[in-house]
Amino acid sequence: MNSGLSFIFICLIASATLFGANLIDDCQPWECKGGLLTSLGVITPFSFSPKLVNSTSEIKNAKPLSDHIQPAAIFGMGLELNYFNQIEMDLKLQYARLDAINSETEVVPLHLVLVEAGYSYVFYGRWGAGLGMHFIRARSTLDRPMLLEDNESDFGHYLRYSSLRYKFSDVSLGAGITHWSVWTKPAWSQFIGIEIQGSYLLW
Amino acid sequence: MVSRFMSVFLCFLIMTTHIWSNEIDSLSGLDSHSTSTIVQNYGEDLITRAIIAGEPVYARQNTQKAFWRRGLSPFNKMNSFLSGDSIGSLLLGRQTPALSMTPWNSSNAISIGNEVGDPLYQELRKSQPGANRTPSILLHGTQSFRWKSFGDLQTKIDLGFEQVDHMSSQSSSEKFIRLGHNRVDHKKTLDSPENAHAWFGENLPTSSMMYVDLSFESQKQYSGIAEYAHRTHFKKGFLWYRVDTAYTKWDESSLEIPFQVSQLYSQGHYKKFYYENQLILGEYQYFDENKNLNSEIESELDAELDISPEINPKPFQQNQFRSFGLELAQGSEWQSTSRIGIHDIQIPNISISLGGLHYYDVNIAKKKDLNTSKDSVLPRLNLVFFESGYKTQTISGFSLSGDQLIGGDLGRYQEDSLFTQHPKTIMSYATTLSYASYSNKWELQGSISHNYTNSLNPLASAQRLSGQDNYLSDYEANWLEIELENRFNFSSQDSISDRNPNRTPNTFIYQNYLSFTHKYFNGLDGFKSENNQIKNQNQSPELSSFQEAIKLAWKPAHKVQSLSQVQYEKSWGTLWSQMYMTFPQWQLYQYLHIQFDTGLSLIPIYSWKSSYHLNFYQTTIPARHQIHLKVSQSLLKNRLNLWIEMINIISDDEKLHPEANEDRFRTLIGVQFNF
Repeated sequence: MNSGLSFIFICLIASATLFGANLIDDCQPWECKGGLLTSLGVITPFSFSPKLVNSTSEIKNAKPLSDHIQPAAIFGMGLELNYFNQIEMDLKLQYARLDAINSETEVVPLHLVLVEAGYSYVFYGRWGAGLGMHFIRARSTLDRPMLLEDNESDFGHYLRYSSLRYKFSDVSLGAGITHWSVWTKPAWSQFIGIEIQGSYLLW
Repeated sequence: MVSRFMSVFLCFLIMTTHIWSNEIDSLSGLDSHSTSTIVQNYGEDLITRAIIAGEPVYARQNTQKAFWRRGLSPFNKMNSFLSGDSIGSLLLGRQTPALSMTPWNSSNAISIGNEVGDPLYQELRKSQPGANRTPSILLHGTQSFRWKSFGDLQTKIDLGFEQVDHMSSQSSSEKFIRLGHNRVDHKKTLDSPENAHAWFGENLPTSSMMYVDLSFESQKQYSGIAEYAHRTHFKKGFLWYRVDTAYTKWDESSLEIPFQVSQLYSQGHYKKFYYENQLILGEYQYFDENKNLNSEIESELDAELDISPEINPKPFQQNQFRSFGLELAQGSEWQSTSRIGIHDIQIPNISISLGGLHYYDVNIAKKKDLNTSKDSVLPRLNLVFFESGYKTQTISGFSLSGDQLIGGDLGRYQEDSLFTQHPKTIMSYATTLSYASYSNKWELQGSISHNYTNSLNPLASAQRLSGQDNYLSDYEANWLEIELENRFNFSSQDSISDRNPNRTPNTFIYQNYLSFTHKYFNGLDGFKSENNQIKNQNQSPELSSFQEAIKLAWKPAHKVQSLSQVQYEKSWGTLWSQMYMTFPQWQLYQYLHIQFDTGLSLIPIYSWKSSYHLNFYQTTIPARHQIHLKVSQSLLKNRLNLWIEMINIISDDEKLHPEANEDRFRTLIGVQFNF
C-alpha cells in the first residue's frame, strides 16, 4: 500500500482513538439502537505466515499474493446494531474492483463482493470479529477457463478494529483497520484493509 | 368409561408411533428411526444436511430397515387410519402442505453455500484453473393469503416452492442406489438426475416442487348444553413435481399433478358422549407433459414402490367415523393403490371396546385387481388388552394380519421396456405380540413379531445397481423381530402435567433401544455385481442383526439441551457379505444446543462412527470423526432468522467413496423470514 496513504490512515485512527468517543455504549440491554455505516478505504493482499492447508511446493515457491493483486479502493455499507450491553452486531456489504496480474503477467481484473456478519465489543472503539463470504468474478473474459471467470464464492473470517468516532449530531466519523482470512486452498489468502467510517444513527 | 377408552386409545397411539423416540430425538431435530424424514424434508436441520452431505449412512434404512419394517405393523396401519390427517400429506414420500388439511405456517427461506476451499486466488499464482467446489442453494417458501368471502366462508390461496440444490457431490452414487437407479453410468452424463433437476449440478431428486392451492373453508362452533364444532374444507390446486424413477428418462420426469381434496369434519361432546366424524375425499392424478407417458410412469412408480416404500403415490378416498361415547369406532377406507399392478382396496374397520379393559380391532379388507377383476381378501385382527394401576398403565396386544393379492402383475424391466411377468399370488402375514407399560417417570415397551412374505426381493437395489434386469423375482422370506425399548425420565417437576413455560424443569432422560432381527430367505435369486466381484448363488441366505442404542438427553433449562447417543450394531449371516454394504458397528453422537436471550443460538455436534465395508466396491471406509456447528440469530421477534452452518469442519478432503468426490468442509449461510 502506498506509504503516504497508510500514514494518513494511521494518523486518522490514532487521532480518533485519542479524541473520539463511543456513541452507543450507553445503550441499555434490549434498547436496540442501530446505525447505518458507510466506509471507504483500501484493501490489499497481506502475506504473513499464511496457514498452509495441504500446501504444495508449487504454492510455497510461488510469489506472494501481494505481487499478483494490487491495492484497490473498497466501499462498504452496513448496519451496526446495539446487541447486548457493550456488544454490537455488525452486518456489512462491501465491494472492490481488484486489479490482478497472474504469474504469466496477464491482467485479470476482478469484482470482489464481501458479505460480513459478526459482533463487536465496544471498548475504546470497537473490537470486531465475524465471518465473511467472498464473491469473486473476473470483470472480463479470460483467455483460459478459470474459476475466477465464473461466479465463485468462498468463506472466511475477519478481525476489525474501529476507532472511537467524532460525533456531529447523528453523524459520526472514525476509521478502522481490518484483516480478512479467506479459506482458500491449498493456502488461506490474507487481506488487510484500512478505511474511513461514517455512521448515521437510524434509531 | 369414556375417559378409560380415551386412555386406551392414547396408549395405543403411544405404543404404535414411537412417540418416545420422537420426543428425545426432537432435541436434536433428528429422527433416527425414520430415514425417510431425511428424504422427505428438504434438510433444514444441520445434522440432516450433514448426513446428506456426508457418507451414505442414510442408505442403511433403505437396505435394511425397509425390508424388515415393510408391512410389518398393523398397528401402524391402524394408527394412520385413525389419525385423521394422514390423507395426502404424503406425496411421493414427502410432506406436502398442498394436500394437508392442517394449515402450515408460512415461511420463506433461502440458503446458499459452498464447499470450503476454492483455490480462487491461487489461480493467479499458478495461472492454472483450480478445482471447483460444489455450491449449493436451498429455497423454500410457503405463503398463504386468506380473506373472508361471505358469511363464515374463507378463501385461501397457498403458494409453495421448494428447491434443494447441489448439497454435495460426495454422495451422488448413494443417491442413485437409494432411489433405485440402475443406470450407474447416468451420473456421468448430462441427462442424469444430478444435472436435470438442479440449477448448479447435483440435486436431491424429488426435491423440486411448486404448487398453487385454492381452498375454501368454513368453520362453526356451537356451545351450550353440548359443544359442537363443524369444519368444512375444500381444496383444489395444482402441483408440479419432479420425479425420478428407475425407468423415466430424466427430461420426461416432470409431472403436473392437479389435485382436489375436500374434507367434512365435525366433532362434539355432551357429558361423556364424544363424537367425531371425518369424511375426506380427494384425488390427484399424474400426467406427464407427454400424456402418452401417463400409464408408463404409473407402471414405473408401481415398480418403484417395491423398492422404496416411502415413495407411495396413491389416489385416495378415506372415510372415518368414531364414536367413543358408544365405545365403538368404525370406519372405512378406500385406496386405489398401485403397489403391484393396480388394485382397489376397501377396508371396513370395526373396533370394539369391552369395559375399557380389552380392545378388539377387526379389519377385513377387500381388494379388487383392476387388471384381472379378481377379488382378494385381507384379514386383520388386533387385540389390545389394557390394564391401569394407580401410577402405572399397561397395554398388551396381539395382532395378526395378512395380505393377499391374487393375480398381481409383476413388472419386469428389460432393455428400456417394462414387461409383465406371470401373474402370481402374493402373500404376506405378520403376527405381533406387544407389551407396553408406563408411568410419568418410566416407560417400557417390547414386541415380538414374525413375518412372512413372498413379494419383495430385498436385493433389488443391488441388482439394479448391477444392471440385472429381472429384479422382481420369486422368493420367500421369513423373519423374526424382537424389539425392547425402555426409558426413564427424571425431572425436577412433572413436565407432563405442568406445561407452564415459565418454569424450567431440569430434565434427564435415559432411553435404551434394543432389537434383534433374523431374516431367512428361500428361493432368492442370485445376482452378480457390475465387476463380477460379488456372486450370490446361495439358495437359503440369512440376515441377522443385533442393535443396541442408548440415548441420554439432558435439559437443565430451556436454554440448554444436550443429547448423547451410543449405538452398537452387529450384523451377521450369509447374505450380508452380498448386500451393498455392512454398517458401522459403533456410532457416537453428541448434540448440544445453547440458546441465549439475545436470540443467538449455538449448536455444536460431534459424531464418530467406526469403519464399515462397501461390499460392492470391496472398499473399507475408515473410522472417522465429524464436527458440525450451527450459529443462528433470531431478530424482529423471531420473524427473521439468520444462520450459518459449518458442516464437517475437520474434514481433510479425503475421498471416502470410490464413486464420489472428496469429503469436504461445507459452509452455508441462510435467512428465513415470515411475513
